[in-house]
Amino acid sequence: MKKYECLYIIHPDYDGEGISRVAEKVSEYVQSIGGEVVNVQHWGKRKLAYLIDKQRFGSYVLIHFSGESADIAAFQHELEIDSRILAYMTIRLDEFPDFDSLSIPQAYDAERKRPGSPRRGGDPRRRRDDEPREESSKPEERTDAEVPAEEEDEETPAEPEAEETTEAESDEAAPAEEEAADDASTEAAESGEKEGE
Amino acid sequence: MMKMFGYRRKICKFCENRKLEIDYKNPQLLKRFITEQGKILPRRITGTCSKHQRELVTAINRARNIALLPYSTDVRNV
Repeated sequence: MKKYECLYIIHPDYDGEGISRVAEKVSEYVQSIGGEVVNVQHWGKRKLAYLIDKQRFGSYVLIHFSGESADIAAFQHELEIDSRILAYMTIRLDEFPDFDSLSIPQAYDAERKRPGSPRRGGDPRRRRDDEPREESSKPEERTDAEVPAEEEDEETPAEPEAEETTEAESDEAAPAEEEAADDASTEAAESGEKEGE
Repeated sequence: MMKMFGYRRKICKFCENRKLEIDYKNPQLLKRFITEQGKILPRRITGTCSKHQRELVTAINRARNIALLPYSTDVRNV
């Protein structure tokens, strides 16, 4: 007897009692091949990462069982025929996990598409970088609106982020020095010309 | 800072933290190793060691098989 786990997706039309009935049926399939069901875990209805049979949602059920490797094909054939099951995947395990500590995993897009989010969904890392910046920029805008226009004019060239301001300052400082140097050299040249005269 | 100190050697997340298990049933973890489009990120980006990268690839492919992760995502329509 080898150890297996099977994760399968039940059609979204079935809920509550319907799901448990399908789950019982799958357990029967396992028993019909001479296997032994060890654990059944319901994940509940969740969004699929892509459409299966034109369905956007499905109820996941994880089942652990032991059985003979030769009979697994027959078990999978039963799942294939059953129209209530959208998809299934059976994997052989070396050891059964600790069933008490089994947690229901979050969907991959759990934090995606929050209401009111201005940015399109996508790379979560990039968005995480953006969030604090958005928050920090909002209060600054408010303060800018409150202060008189004269001050605002002075502040606008120096931009909010600290790194940029230092760069901007150094950039501004550098041309000023150059100008000063230019002035000095031109003056020197002028004075030299005067001396020549 | 990165410019000052140059290239920083990446360390495999799974070697660093032995408790972190690579499991196809954990799409929250796996999605950190795929792109926005759903492609698997190469080792040179994530810093994963070759042993764990192989495990990652099987886990990601299993997760894709059972619709826990997408095979591909049209980035324009997201």
